[in-house]
Amino acid sequence: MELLKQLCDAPGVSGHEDAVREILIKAVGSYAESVHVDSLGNLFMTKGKGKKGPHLMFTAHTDEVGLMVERIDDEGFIKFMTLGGIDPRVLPAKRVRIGKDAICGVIGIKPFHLSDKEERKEVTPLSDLRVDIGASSRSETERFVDVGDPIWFDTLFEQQGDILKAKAFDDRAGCYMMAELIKHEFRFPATFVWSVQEEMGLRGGRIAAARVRPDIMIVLEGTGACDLPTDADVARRPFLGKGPVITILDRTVVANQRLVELLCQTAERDGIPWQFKRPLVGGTDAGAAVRVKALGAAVVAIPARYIHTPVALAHLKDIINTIELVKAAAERLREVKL
Amino acid sequence: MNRELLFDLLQIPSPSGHEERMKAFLVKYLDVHGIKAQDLGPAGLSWGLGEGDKLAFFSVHIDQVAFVADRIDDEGYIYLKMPGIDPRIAPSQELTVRGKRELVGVVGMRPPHFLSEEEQKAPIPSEKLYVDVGLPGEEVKRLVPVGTVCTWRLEPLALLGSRVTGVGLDNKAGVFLALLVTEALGSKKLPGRIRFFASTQEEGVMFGAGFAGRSAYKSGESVLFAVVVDTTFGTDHEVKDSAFPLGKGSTLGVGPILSKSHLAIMRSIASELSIPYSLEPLTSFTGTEADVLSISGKGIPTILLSIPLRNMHSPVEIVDLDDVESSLKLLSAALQREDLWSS
Repeated sequence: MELLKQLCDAPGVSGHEDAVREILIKAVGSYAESVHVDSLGNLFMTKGKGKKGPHLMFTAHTDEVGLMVERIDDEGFIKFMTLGGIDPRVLPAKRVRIGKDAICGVIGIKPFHLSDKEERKEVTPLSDLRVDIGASSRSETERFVDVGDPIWFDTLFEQQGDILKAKAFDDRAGCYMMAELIKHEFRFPATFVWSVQEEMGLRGGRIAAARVRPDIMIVLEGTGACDLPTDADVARRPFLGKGPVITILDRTVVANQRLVELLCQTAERDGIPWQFKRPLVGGTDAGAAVRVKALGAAVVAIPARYIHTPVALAHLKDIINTIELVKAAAERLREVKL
Repeated sequence: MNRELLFDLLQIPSPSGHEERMKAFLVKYLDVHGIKAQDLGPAGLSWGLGEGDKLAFFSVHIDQVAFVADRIDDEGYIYLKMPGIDPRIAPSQELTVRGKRELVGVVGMRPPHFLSEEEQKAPIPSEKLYVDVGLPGEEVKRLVPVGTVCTWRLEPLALLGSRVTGVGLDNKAGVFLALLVTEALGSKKLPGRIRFFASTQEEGVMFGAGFAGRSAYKSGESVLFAVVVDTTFGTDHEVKDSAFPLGKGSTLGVGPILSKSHLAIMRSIASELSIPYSLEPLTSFTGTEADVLSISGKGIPTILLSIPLRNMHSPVEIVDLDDVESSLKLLSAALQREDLWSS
């Protein structure tokens, strides 16, 4: 779990994934036959060159949702923009870190005592929020912070039995699972891609697919668990702790039906719990890849509660089961006619 | 300044009604400094300095706001009551659930993937806010009795310059100041006796200070004056009114319930020593222990000093230690002055 902890705690909002990439190269670079970083920051590692196809590509994205410095005001407060899908309701009264020096700051609030009844009915709009680093003037803030600097949630990984708490399980969980998978000997040539800027509209994944041109792509994700209290009469899956989440279709791709069947049948055969993702929710690098090359794509994810917020919960067994399922299903890839 | 002491205080959870650990820390700390504190049971703690017939009170509350487990559903989600806390700041906070075992919890909300834009426009009402510890319902019900307190799970942190952020700076900044004043005056000749009160349950119910006030009444002692130390609203990018700048000194309360003559002396000492301060105008209700102490027994002339603090009643409260430093100078000078004791 040490590597997962390192990956989750590392800063890596979209466009600033360097720290995550460095951790991965250090942790598993030695398992690869080749290591390459492209112009955008996608990290490629290959294994099994010369083995008979199909050529398999695994992808997980290194970036996380976060914030970016928009401007610094006269009093030294920092106005910010969101990078990726963040509900403004999760932002007030949070701790953040900023820029290359990881300067500490907090997102302030108007005290309860000073807001009137009407105000309390409103969500504080993003444009009214500021980060406070303790500076008293613009020049003091400017010594440490630049416009465009990344801002990330100051959340630390903790384990409580099987329950894991951290920021960015979407998609450091996927990054971690791929780091475990690259240690495995597959029967085909495999390329492992840790992509960038997925939360910015699947940008890294697109050029990664164009470079690798695989036959089969398996995306490893941290997806939203939906087993949360609700009054609405809606499906509540996926559930935390109930196994790998398999995508049928999301907003960007229809998963390859034969690969979906292979994953489900392998899970049944091996007694691995599994569940379907709710259709038409979210999207992954597979959506970008299928627009570059006609390939068979599947998405396997761990369920995590409260993704895209400062702090999420995941289940250790889901991570172990997802790694096992992907390994076992990959062994049988030649049985599949795409 | 001994930042370490403040950071120690900030790491001790002290929710209203559950101040035992803070009391134990203070007893030990004072003991090391040669002061025996007196346990006032559920009302808090008291200790004294100086001697003679003249008696003054110095009161700080040691409790902090916290969440309380109200109901646990069959799936183990713990619904919360949040006295004094804006429900709009609750989502996505990390909490320590202090049940039969300490558990890490997260105040949950549906991620944007499962919400319509319309749904994101309204705050989540407090009755729908819950903490999630990730465990099955039966286990949670066993470990987390209704009434369990939940506190924000954040370590104190230094910001730029002399500013710090931490959970419960309201009123641990005040407790810190009281300890510094105690140390500063420990070896000094005082015009009379000061009885310090570290009182409980200020937030919401204002319990401990009432006990302090009644204690003097019962013993028949007459209290010359009381000093109450608390925190007040700090200005920021948005809050300008009823708030005071950080780093420009603490506030001295002015208004009908506070002593005019003691305030005048405090002000003259401050200007004599060039100590910065702001005047904080307050009407019938200060929201501090001054409300209770000033009408305790036969009445106690009360001085209110408050440290400006940003983001009050949130996990990201901020104070400027320069304000604690200047308040320390002012209070330790003033409490040694005959004129304050003979006013």
